[in-house]
Amino acid sequence: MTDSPDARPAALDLETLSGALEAAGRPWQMAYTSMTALDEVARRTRLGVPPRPELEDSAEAAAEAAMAATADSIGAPASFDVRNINGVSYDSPVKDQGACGSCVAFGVLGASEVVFRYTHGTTMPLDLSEAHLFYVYGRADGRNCTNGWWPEPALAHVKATGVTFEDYYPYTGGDQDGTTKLNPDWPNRYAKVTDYANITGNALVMKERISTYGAITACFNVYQDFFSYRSGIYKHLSGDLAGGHCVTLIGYDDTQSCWIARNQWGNGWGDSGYFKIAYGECGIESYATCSIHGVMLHAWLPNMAVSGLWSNEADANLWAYGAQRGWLKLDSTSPVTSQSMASELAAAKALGRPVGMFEDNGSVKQIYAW
Amino acid sequence: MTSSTIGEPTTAPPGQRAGGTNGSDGGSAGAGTTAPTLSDAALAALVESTTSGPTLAPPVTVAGATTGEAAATATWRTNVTIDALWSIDETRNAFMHVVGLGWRKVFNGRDGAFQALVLLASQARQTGRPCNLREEADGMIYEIYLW
Repeated sequence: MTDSPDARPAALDLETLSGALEAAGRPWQMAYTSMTALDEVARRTRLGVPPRPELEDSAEAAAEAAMAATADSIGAPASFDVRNINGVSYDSPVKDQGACGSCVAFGVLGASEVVFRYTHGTTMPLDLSEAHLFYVYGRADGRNCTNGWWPEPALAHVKATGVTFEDYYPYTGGDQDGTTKLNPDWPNRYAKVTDYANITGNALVMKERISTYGAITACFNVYQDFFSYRSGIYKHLSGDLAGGHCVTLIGYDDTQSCWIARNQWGNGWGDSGYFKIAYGECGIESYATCSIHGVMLHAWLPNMAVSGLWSNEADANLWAYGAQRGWLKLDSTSPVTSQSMASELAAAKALGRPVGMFEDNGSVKQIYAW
Repeated sequence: MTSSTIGEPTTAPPGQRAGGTNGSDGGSAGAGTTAPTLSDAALAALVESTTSGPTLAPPVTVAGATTGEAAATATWRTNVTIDALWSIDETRNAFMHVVGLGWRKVFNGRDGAFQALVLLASQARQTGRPCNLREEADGMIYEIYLW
């Protein structure tokens, strides 16, 4: 995306791309994707970060630095893919940003969803509202479908005020006044990032944060050949710079020297929505990279089965294990309060009945047991 | 206090995963010291006369913290069941009977923790669900996972 995109940029000739791939020894595979099917203007609309063409000059050095920064040097695994952690996937579904340069909202919230699931060891679905982030907070910052955004200011909003769930403001691509579409009950249903950091340009920290928290958000320059990527490890071979783009990095592989990423162009693009990109390529480390260190919920968790209760010698330290969600501390300010909750949860557990629990940052504040 | 200073559960229910760390807290004096006197054999006879609860194993020892029974430091008793309870009109004094182990005293250092542990023990006894118990060197149960 550019602030003033060319009205009718020329599309990349696919025969040219095929020839370039052949000449390079086919490092990745091309295909007629959901993006290939669009015209060039529509393709560039589906980006969303101001481009940084100057990074092209430092690509080789960035690649060497990323390869030298081996994950095992910091005790991290040599490869990591949040879709397969001992057979469990903590990833969230591939989405489609549609005809809007809102990639930052998807890259930031995609990482937030994964960080929540991975750090809590839960497979509970969490679908956050990109529309809330982009059409309310982004719009208030002067950002729109044409001029895009940056991850760090977006994360500042997610940390300070929080983002509601998708069902409270479903996403559609196209500029809109989000304040009129947001469910007014959203202050009772949101997630916040507890902390984040700008780690731009540090491949070693990127690997450490991915393997610790599950995912990060990263931006890179998109060239025209990327629109027709199907599989393999992407390296820019052919075509002009189309714009800047933000995605979710969910893994890396030091053996293959690549990052594993989730895009938001639907399942019809890339490897079912995912791609691998070589270390140092297109500014993937040095463009704008942020790690997220925790995500808290403030929301009702409906229909939770209670599969465990716990306490120890400390006062007011009762916990309940909600199926999928994991351990939650019962209101910790008073032994009487936590024990009354525990009594009700214990009864539901004994009966095998689900409960509703209102969670605020890992603590249960209210329950329904029926 | 925060979770990191007072402890939190670290074990997930069977087949599930959880994170977190544990801490420990000391007890306080002033609690009741009487122990249950019903023998296992007598208890077994009582249980057999009812239709609920598992059949008791016949451990020899019937003791609590005050009887001087030797107990290893921070011994975890995993996948055990509780089939009897005992309490008396003394401050914070209750025991649970663990199948295969005998009577174990509930940590008596402070009201809130004591009541919470008795709640879990009672629920375990009522439902027959398995537990993991942390028994400290003083012979008391300091921590309960109820599955």
